[in-house]
Amino acid sequence: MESVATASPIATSFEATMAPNYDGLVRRLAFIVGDAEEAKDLAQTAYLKALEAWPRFDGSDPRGWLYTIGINLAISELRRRRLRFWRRRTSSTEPSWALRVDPDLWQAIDELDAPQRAALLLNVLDGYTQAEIASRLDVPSGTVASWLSRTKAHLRQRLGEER
Amino acid sequence: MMDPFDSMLRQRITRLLVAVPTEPIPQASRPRPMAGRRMLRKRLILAVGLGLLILASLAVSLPAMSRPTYEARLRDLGVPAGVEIITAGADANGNLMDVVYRDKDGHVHCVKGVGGCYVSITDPSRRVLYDGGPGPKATPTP
Repeated sequence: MESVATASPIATSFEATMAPNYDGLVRRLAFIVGDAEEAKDLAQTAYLKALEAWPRFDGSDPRGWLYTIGINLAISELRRRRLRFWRRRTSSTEPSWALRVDPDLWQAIDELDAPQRAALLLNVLDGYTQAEIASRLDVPSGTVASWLSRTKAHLRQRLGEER
Repeated sequence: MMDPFDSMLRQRITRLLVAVPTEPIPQASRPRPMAGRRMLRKRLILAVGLGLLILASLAVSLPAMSRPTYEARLRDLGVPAGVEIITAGADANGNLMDVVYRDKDGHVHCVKGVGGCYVSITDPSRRVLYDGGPGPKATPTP
C-alpha cells in the first residue's frame, strides 16, 4: 500500500488504520470484478473516497466500512458497464490466479452477478448477517436472503454436495 | 456453528483470494491506458468504416436518384404512356433518339430523329414496320 497522504494528522490516522486493509480489499474486489488490475484501481478509488469521508466516520468497524465502500464501487462499475451493450463480459481477461488455484470454484462464481458475489463474500468469508449485508449494500434484507439462497444453491449444484 | 457447506466454501474462497496478486503496479507499466487506447482505436476504425460505407452508398444511390427514369425520358420525348416500344437508340451521351413505338391502334411512329427518323424497322418476316430512311416514307404497317 502506497502512502495516501503526507503530514496531516487526519491522513496519518487514516493511513495507520486503513493501510493494513489494502490487500484484503483488493482480494475482495478481484473476487467481485474478476480482474486483479481493475481491483487495484477500484481499491485506490475506495481509499480516496474513504479518506474524504474519514472526518465523518464514526470509528466502528473501519475494515468493514472500507470494504463496503469498495464493494459498492465495484457493483456500480459493473452495473454501469453492463449498460454498454458491446461489453457484456464482466471481466476482460481470464483471471489466471483463480483458474490456477480452483478453476471449478471460479467457473461457478463467474456465473454469479456482482451483488451475489458481494453478498456471498460478506456472509461466508466475513461473517456478516443478512441484515448487516442489507444495510451495507443498501438493499432490503429479503433481497440479500434471496441472493444468498440462490447463490448457495447454484454453488451446491455446480460444486457438488461436498458436505 | 457454521454450515459444513459454508465452511467448505469459506476455505476454498480464502485459498482463491490468497492467490490474488495485490502488489501495487508502477503507474508507468499499468495496462489500463493501453486497453483504453485499444478501445479508442477500435472505435476510430469503426467510425471510419461506417463513414466510408455511407459515402459509398451515397455515391451509388445519388446519381441513380438524380437521373430520370427510362419511362420519364420517353415521356419527355413525347412517347405516350402504355405504348409498345419497338426500338430505341441512343446517342454518344446516352440520350434517347430514334424511338420507334406502336400505339394502341397498331400504328408505328418514330420520335426524336436527328434530321428525321432515319430508321427502318421490319418484323421477323421482313415486313416493313417503319421506314424512316430518306425519300418517300413507307406507310406504317400495323
